[in-house]
Amino acid sequence: MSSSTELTEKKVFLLKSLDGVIFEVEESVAVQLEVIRELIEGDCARPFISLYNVTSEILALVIEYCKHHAETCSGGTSATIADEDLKTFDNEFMNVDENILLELCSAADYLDIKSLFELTCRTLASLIKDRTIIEVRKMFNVENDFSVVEEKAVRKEFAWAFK
Amino acid sequence: MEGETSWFSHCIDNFKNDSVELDPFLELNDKSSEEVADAVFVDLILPNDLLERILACLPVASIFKAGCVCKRWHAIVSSDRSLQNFSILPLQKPWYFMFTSSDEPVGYAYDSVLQKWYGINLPYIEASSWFIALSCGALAISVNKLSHNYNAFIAKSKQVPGWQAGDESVICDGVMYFLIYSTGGGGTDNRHGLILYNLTSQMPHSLLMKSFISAIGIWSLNGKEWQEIARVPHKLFNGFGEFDDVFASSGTVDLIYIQSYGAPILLVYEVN
Repeated sequence: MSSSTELTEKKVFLLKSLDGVIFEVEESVAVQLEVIRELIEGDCARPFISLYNVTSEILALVIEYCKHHAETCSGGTSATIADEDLKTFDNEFMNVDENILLELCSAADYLDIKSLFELTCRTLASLIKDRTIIEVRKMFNVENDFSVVEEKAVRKEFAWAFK
Repeated sequence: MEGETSWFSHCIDNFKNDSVELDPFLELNDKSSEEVADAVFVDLILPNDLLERILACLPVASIFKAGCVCKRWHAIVSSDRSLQNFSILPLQKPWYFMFTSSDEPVGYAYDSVLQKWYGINLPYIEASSWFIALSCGALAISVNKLSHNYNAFIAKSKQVPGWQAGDESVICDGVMYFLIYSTGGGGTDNRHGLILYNLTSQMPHSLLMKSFISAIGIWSLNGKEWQEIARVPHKLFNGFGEFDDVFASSGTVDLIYIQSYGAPILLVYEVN
């Protein structure tokens, strides 16, 4: 894997996930991770960059996302076609388990990938929107720590929003 | 919290103590404990600022509904900081608010994103007149009696024969526009006029006249030329205008709301 550095003219970087898996990515993909951009530009990205907050499962997805976005944007297609293509890709990409979504959101925040962060936030919000309070608690595994009286009070406080 | 008079002013300090900051990824180090940790896992990887960003993508009513999930969420939704963040998001649009009673502080708010009306009971205000500004889910009320701390500009105009002052004015880009009405006699061509007064340069005012047709439309003023942007389609106008010929209109950001006093209809026009 690492020998491809010599074979291709493109610069590649090695990213190491929390659980020790090393991913090889091209520069066009790596620079989308704002958190390591400075390292790359300052040529301090050797031998590999450790990403302590991201598991290999999530990092693989993040790289897939960045790769597709890098390829589409440099593909020479017209802007509107590229836009459409990215939209379709994003929609399919977001079609994952809720826990994965939350981890992706968190990873995108840590790695500072703005478009992925916004995409995951919007997707999670749309999941919250269509659910009842009880379903949201279940989805986020949040315990209802209101007492009966307290919950009644907050529901009364925001009663207009439930109509 | 019973008998609380304001929506937002809840003491969030009571709820602060449960937002323990944990390393969000602590549990991930140990693969074997992942199943055990699963029950609290999700809440752990979602620090307040992330949750705030996710909630900010919701329509306004859903944001407040989310405040009923648990104490931590309630604290986030009620905090001043997140309320500010919520309202600057491009996903939100200004709301329209109308009173439904002249005596009681009750009214309806309209969210143009969800196209939904919400009945809202305002906190009791002991004053006879108030001005309401409702935008992106936040409500500002300025009450005449209590008003202080603002700059008042008084522009004095010469009397214009044949015209009387209306009670509508607006300040836009440093220019005050003041609506005047013809007192009749001059035919029906020019029934409305505008007095312009530049507040920043204190330039002498100028008078603009406009003959309006019997339709509801939106015009923009380019210098001194009126330019029609849109006109309410005849079909809508018929249903709209037949109850009453007095309309209230207001605009914020890129929305213009037109409401007929006599009919239960609200027209929304989005500029651009």
